[in-house]
Amino acid sequence: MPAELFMPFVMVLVAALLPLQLLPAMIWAERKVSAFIQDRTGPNRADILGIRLGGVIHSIADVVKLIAKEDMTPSKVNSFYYSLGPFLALFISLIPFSIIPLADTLKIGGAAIPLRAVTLDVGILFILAITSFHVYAVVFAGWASNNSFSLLGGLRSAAQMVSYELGLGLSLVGMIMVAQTLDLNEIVRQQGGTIFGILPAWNVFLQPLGFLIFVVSIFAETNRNPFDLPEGESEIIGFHVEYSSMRFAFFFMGEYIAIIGGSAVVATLFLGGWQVPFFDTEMLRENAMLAARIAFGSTAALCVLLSIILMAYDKKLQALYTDKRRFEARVLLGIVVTLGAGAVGGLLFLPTLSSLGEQIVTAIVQNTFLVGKILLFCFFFIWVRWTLPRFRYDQLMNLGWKTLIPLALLNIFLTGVALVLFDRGA
Amino acid sequence: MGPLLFWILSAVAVGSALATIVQRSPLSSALTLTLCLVAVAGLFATLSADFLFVIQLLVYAGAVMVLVIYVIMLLNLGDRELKPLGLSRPRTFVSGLVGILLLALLARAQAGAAGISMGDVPDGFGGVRSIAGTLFTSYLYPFEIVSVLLMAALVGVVVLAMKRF
Repeated sequence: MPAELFMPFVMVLVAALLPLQLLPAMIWAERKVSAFIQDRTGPNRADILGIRLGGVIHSIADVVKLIAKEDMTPSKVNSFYYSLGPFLALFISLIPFSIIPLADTLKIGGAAIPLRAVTLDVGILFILAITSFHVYAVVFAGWASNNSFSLLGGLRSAAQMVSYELGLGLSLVGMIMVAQTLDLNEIVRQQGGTIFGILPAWNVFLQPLGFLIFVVSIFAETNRNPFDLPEGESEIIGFHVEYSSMRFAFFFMGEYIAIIGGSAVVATLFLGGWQVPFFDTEMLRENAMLAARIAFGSTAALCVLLSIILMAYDKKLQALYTDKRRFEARVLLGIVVTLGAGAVGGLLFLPTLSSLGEQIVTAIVQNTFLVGKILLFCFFFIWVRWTLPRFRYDQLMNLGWKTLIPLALLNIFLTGVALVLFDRGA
Repeated sequence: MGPLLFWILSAVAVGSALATIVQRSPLSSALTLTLCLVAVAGLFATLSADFLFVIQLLVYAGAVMVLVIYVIMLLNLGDRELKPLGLSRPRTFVSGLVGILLLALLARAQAGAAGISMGDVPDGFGGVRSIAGTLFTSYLYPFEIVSVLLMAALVGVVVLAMKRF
């Protein structure tokens, strides 16, 4: 069967490219959401031929700036470890995607084709193992820079990550006790169906305390506000103070990919992964025609809505500008109309789907829901960053060791009691 | 694919283990030791011991080595503190003896494994379920005794730390 042979390579490619695709969107969203929260406009100046896309072009300007900058290596650093740090930071944060199931397993001619790069029975442990590798990047960067502030930042960060890994691991134990497996696809499959017929049976509703501890620990693991002490600008500058150009950008990218990866893990473990609420895989496959029609129809409707907005925007631009910025809305309108026409065409000339076609449509719908959940949680990351102030270091350590770990142990105990009482374990 | 992976991973493991003992810089030694542990984890993975593969990464490469590197960085050893590699006569003798004994042990294990058939492993081999089943039925008492030992070590750490603060 050829599909079995080449699908792993395709999935490795997808697993590497998905986070890299989401990365510029994430950086743009960070800027725009922060601007929205602080009642500003945000980036809107960088343009290509007058097209600004509300600041999206700014990401391209950033990349050009970072590549064009001088890549300095200070003379007294240990150059091998100095270069190793940023590479590890980016590389390690990309690994968890290889194990996230992107949709339910395909069945082609009797052969099962899992839609993830690595099929491992112990997926949760693998994610925890890879998370603990992040410390190396930070510690090497901090130490090799030969700068006391870098070293201090690196050690702080390492202590923080090691401390919160405990909470991260313990918070999952309750969930594993309920799921009775460590396989990620199996955990996602168990989250189908409903509780009491109203709520989708996601682990966030079964394990609310575990979810809370896991999310707080993920924030600390990714060095995100309110736990961004490794970079606390007002106190120490952080482990990457000696880096410039793309090597600095690697830390930056690694941090954002770690956020996307953390969101993907939270979505998979607690928010139902690729499960579409109230519709399981079989139901979706039976109604694949309807699902495809709805997808094309909603795309067309969205395009109509966008066209109306763009026409209003065009009127505004015509009144405001006399240079090439006037044409931005018209170019975008052209793209949107083409897309909408394609969607309408798809709706009209949709062929009857074969069994394989039904499975592919189902996989696409499930993957769309997974990416939607990931993006929603990424938004949550940004929202928290621009809302909460930074913790002090002793508060951070107290929270990790004296609050989260006892709470995680309590969660294990409560889950055990619940399992014995309601007899799910037996 | 299997034999090729085995040779690559073994070469990395042996090479990095050698690099661990011949390098002067403690940090480089720690890093090569980490590499060695990761390569051994890869060997576990090729033997379809999934659980051991992940535990090797999680415990040794992810936790123990991070602490070792952390301590090395806090010590901040300069060139003056690092003595050149010297091999005194008794040390050479003891290391050589231990090496020969280990080699003999390996040869014995190799000879013992000659009769075992290398067929396909059963379904679920090396997974959590089979390892947990063995650990908590046949080897329950050794497991509990080891956990008491670990507990004693933990209490010892707390007692040692209490004196300082």
